Amino acid sequence: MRGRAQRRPPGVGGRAALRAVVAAIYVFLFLPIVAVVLLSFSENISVIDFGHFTLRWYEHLVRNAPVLAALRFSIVLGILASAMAVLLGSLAAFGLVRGRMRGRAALQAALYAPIVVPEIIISVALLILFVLLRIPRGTLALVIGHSVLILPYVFSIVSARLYGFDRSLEDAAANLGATPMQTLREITLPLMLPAIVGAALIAFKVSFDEVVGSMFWSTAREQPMPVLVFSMLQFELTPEVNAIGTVMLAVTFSVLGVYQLIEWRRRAELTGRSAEGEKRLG
Amino acid sequence: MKRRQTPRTGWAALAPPLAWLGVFFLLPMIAVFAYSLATREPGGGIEFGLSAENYSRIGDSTLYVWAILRSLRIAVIVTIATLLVAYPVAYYLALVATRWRVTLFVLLIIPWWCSILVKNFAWVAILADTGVLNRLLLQIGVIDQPLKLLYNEFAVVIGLVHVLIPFMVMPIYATLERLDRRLVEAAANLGSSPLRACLEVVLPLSLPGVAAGALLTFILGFGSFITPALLGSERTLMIANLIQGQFMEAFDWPFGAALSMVLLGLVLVLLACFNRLVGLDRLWGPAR
Repeated sequence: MRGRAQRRPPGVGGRAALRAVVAAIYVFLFLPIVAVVLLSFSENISVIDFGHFTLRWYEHLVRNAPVLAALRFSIVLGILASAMAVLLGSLAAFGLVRGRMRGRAALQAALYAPIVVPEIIISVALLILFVLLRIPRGTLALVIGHSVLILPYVFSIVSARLYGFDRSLEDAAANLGATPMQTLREITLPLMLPAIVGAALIAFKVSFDEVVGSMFWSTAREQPMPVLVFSMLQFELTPEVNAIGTVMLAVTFSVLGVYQLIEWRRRAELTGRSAEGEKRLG
Repeated sequence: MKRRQTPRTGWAALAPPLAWLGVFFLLPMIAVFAYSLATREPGGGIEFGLSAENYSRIGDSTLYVWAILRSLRIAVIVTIATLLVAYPVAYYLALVATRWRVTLFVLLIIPWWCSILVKNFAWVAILADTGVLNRLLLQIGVIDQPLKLLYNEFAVVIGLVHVLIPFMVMPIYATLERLDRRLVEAAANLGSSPLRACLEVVLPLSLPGVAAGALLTFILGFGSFITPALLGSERTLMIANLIQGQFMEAFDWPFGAALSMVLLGLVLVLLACFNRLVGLDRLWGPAR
């Protein structure tokens, strides 16, 4: 009886089997991504040749003017769109978390709507609107479109942090005679800054990898990187595309790496602060 | 302590983002609907009206009916396959893993964040006739003809499952993590086998998470564009590819708009059912 009670689900044999299944799924998740990276250093497009690594495809890239232009354009677009989304998304988060109005569940659903409606629909819908409003395809259209697509991410990150915000700090500032604007500027915004920067990084990343909407809203001259890659793929998969893919992954991971660093620092600061407080109290 | 923020300041902060979404999200949806009821003039212009012609054209054409049915079928297959793959991972992460939990969690997020374009064309390199997999199989002598693995429904399903696994794992993990483990222990104490405890206690309690994951996976699979475009063929086109064709190649925008409304309508019906049965909060957490 006791032995049975101590046994946790699933049983020992079952657990080994589960572990094997999970390991296989992780291999499935990583195999294609690792293959792209390895193939980008390989002479032959379909052979991962560990003996002969080459930087040839990257040398091709550096001399490929359209690719460089698209990369530059994607970065500029990501910065503009995430700036727009951070402004609007943070405002939405502040308004919804702090203003205790009615119908907040419905408002929240409205703010998340752009991620549950299929991208293809938002793409054609905005294209129609741009035509009706005589907004030409290109940078402006792309900034508007991307800002809509990435706003929910910013809203989600900033509102999560606002829910956990220690409001006694704001109360203290107010008690000491700070005006609401001063409290916002001196207390709330500085404390929210890591969340806002984090949201900007995630927003940039989502914009940087966005494909479907960009296809509809861009022109041949103002074209983000994923659209160029997509059109290259219509012909064939070249080793150069593997190299571009690896560069795109590198950009993604640099951005996420910075995001993670900010998170760790914030956590370390929080635990440091509470440890200090305990010492003082003790 | 009296807080200064009131509904009024809340509305003031919400006004700009809501206006932005109103103009650049809601208004475009209305415009698509208006386009779907419009007709094309011989000169190439659009005449707005209240014509159901575009919708009846969808119904009349076997090509489009088949494409919609195919999209539904692929979405169902992908959802079931993703569930079967994702459930063990979520289960392991939430209830079994201890030391490796954080590492495994990060290892799930990394591929999630990789560009979908890269994740999809990776399968071209693997599944092509002269791709990594066929070369390997030929080399070890399992086959003597390369297998046709690419540019068919199989490749589309594989590509979609690969992209969508994390969307299924996350909501299931979230419900399993909150599950009261004492219930499992109670089942064991009452003499049920581990497998039975899993099927009769854990599984029913995780159903809301399963529903949320299945909803996300189904919507994303059903409306997918990139994966069928890169890994499928003319014969596996899905509804999103047909919409793109109408807008970018055939330039029949009213007809493309009608196709979009069919897709949007099906998605909205699903979302409404989910909201009734489980609650939309489950997708993003309640507004506290």
